[in-house]
Amino acid sequence: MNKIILLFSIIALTLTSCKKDPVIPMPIPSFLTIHFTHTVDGVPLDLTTTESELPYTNAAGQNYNVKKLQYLVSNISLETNEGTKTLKDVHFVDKEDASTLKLDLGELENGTYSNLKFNFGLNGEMNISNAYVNEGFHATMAWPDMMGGGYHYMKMEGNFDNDTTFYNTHTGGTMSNDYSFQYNEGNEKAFVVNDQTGDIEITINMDANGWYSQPNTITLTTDGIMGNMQLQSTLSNNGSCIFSNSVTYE
Amino acid sequence: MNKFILLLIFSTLLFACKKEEGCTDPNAINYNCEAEQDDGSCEYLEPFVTTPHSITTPYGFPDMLHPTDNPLTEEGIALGKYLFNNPILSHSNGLACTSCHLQENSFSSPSNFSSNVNGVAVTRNAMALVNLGWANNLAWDGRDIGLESKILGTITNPFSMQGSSDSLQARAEKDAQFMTLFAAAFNNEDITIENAAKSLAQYIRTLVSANSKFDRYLKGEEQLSVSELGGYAIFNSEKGDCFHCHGTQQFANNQFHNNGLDPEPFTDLGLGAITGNTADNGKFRSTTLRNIEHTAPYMHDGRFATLEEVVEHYNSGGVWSSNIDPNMKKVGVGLQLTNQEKQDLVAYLMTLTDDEFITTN
Repeated sequence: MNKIILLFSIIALTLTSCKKDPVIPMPIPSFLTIHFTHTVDGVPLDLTTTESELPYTNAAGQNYNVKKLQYLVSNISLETNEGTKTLKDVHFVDKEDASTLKLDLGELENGTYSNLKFNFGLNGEMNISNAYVNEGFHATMAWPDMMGGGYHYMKMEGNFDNDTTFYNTHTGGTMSNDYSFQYNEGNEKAFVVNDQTGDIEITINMDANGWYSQPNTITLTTDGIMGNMQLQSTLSNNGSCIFSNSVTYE
Repeated sequence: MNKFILLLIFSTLLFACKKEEGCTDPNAINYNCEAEQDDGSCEYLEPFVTTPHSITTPYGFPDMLHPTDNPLTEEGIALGKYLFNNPILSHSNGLACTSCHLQENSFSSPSNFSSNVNGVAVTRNAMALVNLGWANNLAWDGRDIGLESKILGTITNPFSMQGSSDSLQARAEKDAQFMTLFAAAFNNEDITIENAAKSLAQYIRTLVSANSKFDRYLKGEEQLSVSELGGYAIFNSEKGDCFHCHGTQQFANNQFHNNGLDPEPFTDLGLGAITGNTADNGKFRSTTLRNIEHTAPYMHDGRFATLEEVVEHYNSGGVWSSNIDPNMKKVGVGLQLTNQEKQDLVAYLMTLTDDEFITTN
């Protein structure tokens, strides 16, 4: 009898001592960052070329460089289970200023996110003179009242053909028309955030050559285009095809 | 007799036990370190108080830039105004701010190059002091970030005013008005060149110009002439393309541009000398055009005597160099403005004059 009790005790002790408490991992916060990148036909855009270097070629066969690239994106949002989550009202991107190429948007709650959207430029409701007077881009991007007011959507500038000819691709709401357009990636890159997801990095890329090449061919000239409504409309159509995005998890 | 001795002993004991009374608060001006019991006699200095000063933000202007350690006060502004008009800050009392920044010239200099405290001409034109409360990158070449830093740099620069705290303190003791104004602004702080620069910065922030004929036109209070309206249209279209560097209600973007003044090699590198980046060579700050009628001569070296010459420079398209601003997109071709259009542009620029700013003290 004592042996049975002893054996039973040893087995019970062994079983008990081997049992481990379940490991509950600590929840990890997920911080969202959006990066803005720029390419020309898939190659990273380089602003540091000299005037005599014209490394890019548009659909019209013109060689050109880019010395400046500044633009506004607005109403950056994601769809969630609970509806649209606006991440940022207006963001100014200056290719020369690294601080503008990264947008820290804080912590994401658990859930499913999809349909990254943003407007390139400012829609008619937002594109009002002096609406962003305290933003750093105000003086840089202001669009004269005589041409409709508000702000430039984009300034892309450089040389074409040779080092003494300059183009200024300045887009905006000429005569108060709304030439902004929406980028909507759809559901293909939906992602789930849970306690173990970690940080989310979204990269929005602009392929700059597309402004002049797809679907409409645009020929660069030294003439200003801010008052050219037809060209603004064409650029808007081209621009709607040149953005892409990717989502990565850290 | 015994009673008398007893009374004497009792009295002695009584007084020996009595604590000394007086003010026991160390913060009081009549603090008594030997007092053991407070008798309610403490007296205190009046607390140091300054009077806040506010500036109404003109239409279309951003909020003014204010360092947290230098808020606008009536007393600080009064001291700054005194210093602006007084040579006490410069080496050997040689120069005041007004020596180079005359109000009738919108606080700029009518000379190409002002003379420094030693009578030697400096290499840049004295800039107009207009609406600098809204500018951060200062000087023609952007060497100073913030108004306080810019002013301190000018006062202490051996090639400018050559001032120092030591020389200021030595002179201040003989200047009763300065001492009174300084005490009102800074209480018992040390008399330093840094505090002087702070007060000057406060005063210069009050130099706000936003009441020109054009401002009144925007408010519907005054009409522009046909010629002025013509210039307004050229200014704000890519025909003249002035607005990219001189846009908004400030008529300045306060950024740095190579506007095609010279071929390479540049004799004055401008921003490039500060950053060391060759891409910045030949770039200078785009200043406000408010009161431009009164700020001749023009450009960093005062090379243009009249507004007509300035307009003609841009009409010519400027001189090509390897980092000329892409906004000078008509280099080599020119804007091809007619004589009437050029006159219209000048007429419009003259509507930016704020007579009150130029004359009212």
